[in-house]
Amino acid sequence: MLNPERLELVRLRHGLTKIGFADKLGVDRKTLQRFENGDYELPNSSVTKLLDFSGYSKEFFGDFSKLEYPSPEGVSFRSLRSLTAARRNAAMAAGALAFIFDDFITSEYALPESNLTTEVKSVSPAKAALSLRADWGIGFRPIGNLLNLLERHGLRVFSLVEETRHLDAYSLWRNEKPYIFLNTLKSAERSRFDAAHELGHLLLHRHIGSSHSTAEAEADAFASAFLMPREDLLAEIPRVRSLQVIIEKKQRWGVSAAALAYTLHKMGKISDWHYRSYCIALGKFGRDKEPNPMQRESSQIWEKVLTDLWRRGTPLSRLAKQLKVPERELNGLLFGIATKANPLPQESSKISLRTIENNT
Amino acid sequence: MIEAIVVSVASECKSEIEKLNLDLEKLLEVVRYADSERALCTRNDPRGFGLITINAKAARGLREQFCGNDWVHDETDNQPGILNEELGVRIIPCNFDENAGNPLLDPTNRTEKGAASSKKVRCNGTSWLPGLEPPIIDDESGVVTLVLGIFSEEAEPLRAELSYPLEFNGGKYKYFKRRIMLLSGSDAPIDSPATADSESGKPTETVEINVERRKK
Repeated sequence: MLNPERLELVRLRHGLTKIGFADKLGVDRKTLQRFENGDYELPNSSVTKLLDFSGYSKEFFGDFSKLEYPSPEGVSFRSLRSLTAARRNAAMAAGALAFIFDDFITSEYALPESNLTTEVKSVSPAKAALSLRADWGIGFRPIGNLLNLLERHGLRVFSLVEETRHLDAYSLWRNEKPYIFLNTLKSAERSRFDAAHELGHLLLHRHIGSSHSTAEAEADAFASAFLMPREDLLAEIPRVRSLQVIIEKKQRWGVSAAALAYTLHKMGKISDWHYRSYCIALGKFGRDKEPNPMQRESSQIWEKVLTDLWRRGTPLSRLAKQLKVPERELNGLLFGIATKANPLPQESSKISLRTIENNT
Repeated sequence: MIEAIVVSVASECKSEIEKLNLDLEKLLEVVRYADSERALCTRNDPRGFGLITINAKAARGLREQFCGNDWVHDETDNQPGILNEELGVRIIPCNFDENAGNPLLDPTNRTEKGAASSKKVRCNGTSWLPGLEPPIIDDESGVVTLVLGIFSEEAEPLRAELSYPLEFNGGKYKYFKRRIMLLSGSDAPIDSPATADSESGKPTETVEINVERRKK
């Protein structure tokens, strides 16, 4: 017997309409509807097709435990307006898989607890960013590794490998835990800005929601101030000689040249004429090409967890079986750590893990 | 030949500039403006357009920053600049070589200049500039021409000085009686204290995050 809810998740992950999904299974729409209502079992031929095209195991579909999706009302999406509902739902369904993984890991490991205070008074996004910097004790310093900083402060960060340029990231609160999902097919600089943007949503819009018209602009202003504190910018770039200066200096703040040029223009350090010229010049690099690119950041927490599991005889493939989720889906959520060239330490190297009492 | 007087101490430069009814910060702004405009030139621009741009934009910058009560536009001999009739001082921009702003080496113009520059330098030999000895010979226009020498090149430090040329030969400035250093190659004005990169200005470090296994 198959769980209709699990089939629905697979349909969403594949971005299929109900009719398209029924076609894939070799049944008509009404048959699928009867199955969803519990009046009918799918024929064996359809089950075979389902397993073939989805890559999910039969155990996954036979599991009747409740799936938890990100609540659409509580999610802040950073995306273009052209993002289709199918793509959006696929990304949300990835969130449901991430929750399965995260719940398991939380039961096995003690990870940093969130200390993100969301009682933000009515201050500007820039002030909120500076206030958070002060809370986290980083002052005006540029952030060396944003992902590391977020994880250190209890944010769970997952990657998305959605093959669409229309979706950048999304974030949500779940059980008092902040989550960020990043589309890692974007440039490293873009992903960093997306992460800071989502941090802005988590901080500023937890209680009021992010559907109001100024929410995106506020999150952008937060991200800009969080990654590029005005004081540090002014100290480092008292004046802009040329675009080359921007391309070189952007490494300090780990932002795209376009984002730095925009901020400097907003600060009055670049004239309209020069800004326009810089935008044209940057455009010539290509939409997804970043000049003087930085190295992509990855999750330290997931790397440590996967390494420890591997040492205990549970590589990702086995974990995937245990959780009944395809390995490729987990790998896609975990920054591809398991498939990197040498992700795991040598036998002789030490790992900083110790056993603690389970207090959950 | 008498050794050129080189003013390179920041406070003295500021005071020298003020004697000319100018403002050092504004003058630096002119240089940086010309430099940033030059930076927009690409290889698609005609050869030498970068130098033309510096000259033209520095002249525009001088006018925008200083023209008003004391300073007026000047186009004598088709050389753009500014003129203070009361002081009898004219300032024209010029592209200098890499020795611009270097108190130890003598700069000159990057490309050969013509009769107009020669005439102005000749006139400088007969005029009086505040702070200098009174002129010995008094003829021609009586206006001193100072040159705002700028060295601006991609990937090279920006250099600039305000100089009083006294000798011109073979299309080049050969001798400056007084040189006021403006930019010595660092981004900051000459002789300003260097700012050390303190610990607080460095990027945050990647720290080890505790991931602890729960005891079952």
